[in-house]
Amino acid sequence: MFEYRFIQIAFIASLLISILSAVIGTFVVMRKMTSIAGSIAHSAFGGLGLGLLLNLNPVYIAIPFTMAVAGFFSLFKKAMRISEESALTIIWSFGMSLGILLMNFKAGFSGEVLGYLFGSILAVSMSDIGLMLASILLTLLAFGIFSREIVLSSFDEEFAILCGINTKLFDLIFYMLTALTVVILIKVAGVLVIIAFLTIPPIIARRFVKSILKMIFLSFALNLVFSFSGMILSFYFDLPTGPSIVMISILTLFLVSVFKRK
Amino acid sequence: MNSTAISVKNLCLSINGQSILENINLNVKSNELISVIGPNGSGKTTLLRAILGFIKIDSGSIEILGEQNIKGRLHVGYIPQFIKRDSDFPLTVRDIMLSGKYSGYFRKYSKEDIHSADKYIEEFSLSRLKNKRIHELSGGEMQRVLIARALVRNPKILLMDEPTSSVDKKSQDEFFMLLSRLRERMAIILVTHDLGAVSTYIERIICLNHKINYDGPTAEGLTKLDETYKGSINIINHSHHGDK
Repeated sequence: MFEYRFIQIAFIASLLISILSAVIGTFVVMRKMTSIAGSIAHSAFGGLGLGLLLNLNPVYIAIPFTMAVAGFFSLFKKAMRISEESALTIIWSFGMSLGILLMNFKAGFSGEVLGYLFGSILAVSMSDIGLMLASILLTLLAFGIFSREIVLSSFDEEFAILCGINTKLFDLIFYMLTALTVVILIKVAGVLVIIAFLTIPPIIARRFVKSILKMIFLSFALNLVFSFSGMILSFYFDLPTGPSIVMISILTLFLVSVFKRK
Repeated sequence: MNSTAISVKNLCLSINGQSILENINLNVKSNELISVIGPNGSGKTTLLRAILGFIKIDSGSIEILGEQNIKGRLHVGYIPQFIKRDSDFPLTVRDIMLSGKYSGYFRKYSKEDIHSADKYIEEFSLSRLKNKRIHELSGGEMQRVLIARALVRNPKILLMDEPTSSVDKKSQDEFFMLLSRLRERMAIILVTHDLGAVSTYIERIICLNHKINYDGPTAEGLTKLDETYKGSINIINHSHHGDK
């Protein structure tokens, strides 16, 4: 199967997705933000729909759109007069509905919805790879420079404040990076696969390690194993790639939960 | 030596329209060890959190070491009753202790920082636990880690919310002995239900039930307590319930 160029590119894409989602996913899980990541991912549909309607590259419109939604939520979540859970559900359904509504105005684009739900890792272009590389660079730079601040404010926000850390700023940066990751990966992996990538490997990894760095590395390795095995499975058995990856991750999580207690 | 550590003037605070603190005036000098007591839901935890600027106040002013509380809180060590932590967070006791040496953006931990964190690990008998993850610690061990972490920062003021709620009687006595030593170099405000220990170790108490009912010497305060609260405080009560 490796003689095909699209397969080679898909494997490179999996490698890059694994790096990005291991770093962001580790903190998504540690900060108990899995439902927030899910809402941000689904809100991206609004931006994608807008991009299609305007005949522009949907990803380029979805990036600022999703970052704006994530930034708004990060800044105003405490001031909202409704519970955080309700606000997230509203963001989730708003993004999806807006996206599908806007896509509906463009004839022939109904298939796009399914594409963005499960992605098409076998149809990755070189410009997608470029975008992923750029966001990996930005994410690693932010986490490399501010790792202690991000860890401290994720673990104990009040203590971080007393240490003089601007936790609101780091909260905002993290939301923005999560939004960026989600949109960059949406075309390649699809919304459902992204949520699995961001949550399942870190949930498994944290049972085995004692440090954040090791958790990131183990999540990366798991992401790689899940995506490679999912692709191989889909190639030989003619199965859809995204759902295959998700099912392998969930099966592994189930087995780990049964055999590896804390 | 006896300068003002904390000054609270005419503080009023309400949450969702319900008044929690009414016209609070409080002055704490450096090297003073005081205790805030009151029934559950009387506003004790809210008072500490307001002093630290974690909760928006309706009116009044709060100063820490002569500065506005938002600035002055950098000199405060705070030991909450609980921290909103994920018990699966992959940090060891040593990581948590080292985080107490955080000194600003772009500054790495120095050899001295590591040495100082290790010194406190030893002093607080945490050496055996230093490589353990937080989910492996008991409530009392976690409390010891949080106290040690607060002290690693060399605070000038220490605010403690029910610090002895998860420790046994022997550890409580050791804890109050430690406080007596610490007051030589910092002001300490202790929120507690444990009036038995308070009567032995604390000279000044604040009786709080939304407003300050008593502020003065412990012995006198404890005699008036029963009348003031009509038995809503158990005199030697190791209750684990926190404030709202």
